[in-house]
Amino acid sequence: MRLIGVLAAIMVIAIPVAAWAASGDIGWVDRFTVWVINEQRAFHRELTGYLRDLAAAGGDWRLVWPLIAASFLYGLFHAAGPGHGKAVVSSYLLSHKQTIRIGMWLAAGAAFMQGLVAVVIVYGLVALAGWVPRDAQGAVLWSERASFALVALLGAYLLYRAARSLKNRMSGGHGHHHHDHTHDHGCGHAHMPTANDAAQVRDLKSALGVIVSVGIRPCSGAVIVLVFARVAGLSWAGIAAVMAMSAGTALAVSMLAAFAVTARNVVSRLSWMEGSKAGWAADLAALAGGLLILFVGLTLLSAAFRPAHPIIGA
Amino acid sequence: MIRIAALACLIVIAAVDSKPVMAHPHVWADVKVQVLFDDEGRVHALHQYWLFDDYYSAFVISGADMNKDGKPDQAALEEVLAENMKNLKDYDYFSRAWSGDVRIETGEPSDLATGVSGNRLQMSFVLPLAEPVTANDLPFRYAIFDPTYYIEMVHAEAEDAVTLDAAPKNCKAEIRQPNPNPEQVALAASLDRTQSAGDTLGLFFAETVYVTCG
Repeated sequence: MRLIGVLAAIMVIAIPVAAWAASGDIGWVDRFTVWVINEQRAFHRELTGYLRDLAAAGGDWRLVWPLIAASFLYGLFHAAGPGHGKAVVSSYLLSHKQTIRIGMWLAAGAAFMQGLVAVVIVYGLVALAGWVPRDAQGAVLWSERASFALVALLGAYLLYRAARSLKNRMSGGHGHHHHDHTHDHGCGHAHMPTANDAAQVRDLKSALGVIVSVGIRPCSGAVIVLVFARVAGLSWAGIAAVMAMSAGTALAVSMLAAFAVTARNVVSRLSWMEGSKAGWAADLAALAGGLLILFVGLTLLSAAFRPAHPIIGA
Repeated sequence: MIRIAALACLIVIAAVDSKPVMAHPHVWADVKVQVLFDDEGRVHALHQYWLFDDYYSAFVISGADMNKDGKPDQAALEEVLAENMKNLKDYDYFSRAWSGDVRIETGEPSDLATGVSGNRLQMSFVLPLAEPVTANDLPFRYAIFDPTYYIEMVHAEAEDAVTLDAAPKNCKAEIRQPNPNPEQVALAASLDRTQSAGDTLGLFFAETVYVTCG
């Protein structure tokens, strides 16, 4: 069993590391970038083309299915490229103990929230409050900033939590092993129901933090699609398309989430450490993860105060 | 220790994944250009017509329909045009010109106009070159592109996509398709988020028009 675990971990770690190391001087990552941009352009063109066809056909519902399918694939493919959402979700799940189920829910929740925020911006601000679409795109820029700030806050919160737990360990306390659900065999205190409950509540809180911080940033492209659909009298088709996009993204990111949880479990199984040592390791991992998420949030935030696009407004 | 090192590795991999978001076009515009020549056979301005796709058009037209009669108000469209042109100044009006490989600066646009044809919004303007250039010895070339690559600007698939106005007889124009260099694209994609108006991703995906005389 252990051998399989070791082999799996080597594969999980070695392949991306090798790919990453290789990317320094070999151009395949560059070519991949060009390829992704071209594919995204093609997918987006396809989906907007289908919506245009639907409008031209006066909303013939038989033409909705290709639109939904194209939107789903666009969302799926879009999530295959790099993005801050995936970075936050995977950093969180690698550094914090969660179940595969929660990991996947978290990823799907963030993806659907992104779609919903776009719908709220168009139907709340444009349709109800009477904003012009351009100003609504300005709101996209602000929700992007809010998202990055929340990511940084989430990172700071995780960092604080891990630091506090480490401090307790240093002072010899044994009652604060909440983060460590797998390796608590050596420490009876972690099995106390109250401690477990508290830990679970706290982990749900941080998981929700991931969903909200990532999900509050909508895709500006979704806003454009929704505005067009609304003007064409096809609001339902526009919303369906955006939800299909979210579903595609949710599928892709939840796969990544499942992978991240599994990778963490495989590494955990490699542990030769027992009891409190494992607890230390978990806290240190949480510390690193919090630090990384804080870093990602601050980096993105510093870049998010770019000027709005000159003629789109976002 | 091994466990911590392994986790650190995984987290580094996750960080690598946080490379900036890649842009790709969400909106298209068909471009037509009249290359204007002066009396001495030199190129002195580009009269540009941008015809936006249904998406950006709906985006602007629905916002410009003040009296809610389903039609945009010309005054409101012109307000959008003025606002756009003001914002585009920092982006050199999405235009770049060269004589051979030497960049030619452009001036302030004139003859601004806007309107709706079918469901599509059009904007046009004359962009002068800072100084006229010949296309005799070195080709004159230009590219029209959104540097952020949010809008894809392509020459219309039409006979009159590029026309030469008052040009010497032996002049001709050729549209060349982009052939993006992966390294430059990857660099531009990574700068995209951290640089503001200076980003250049769109340049690598831009068509270039070569005008040669003789």
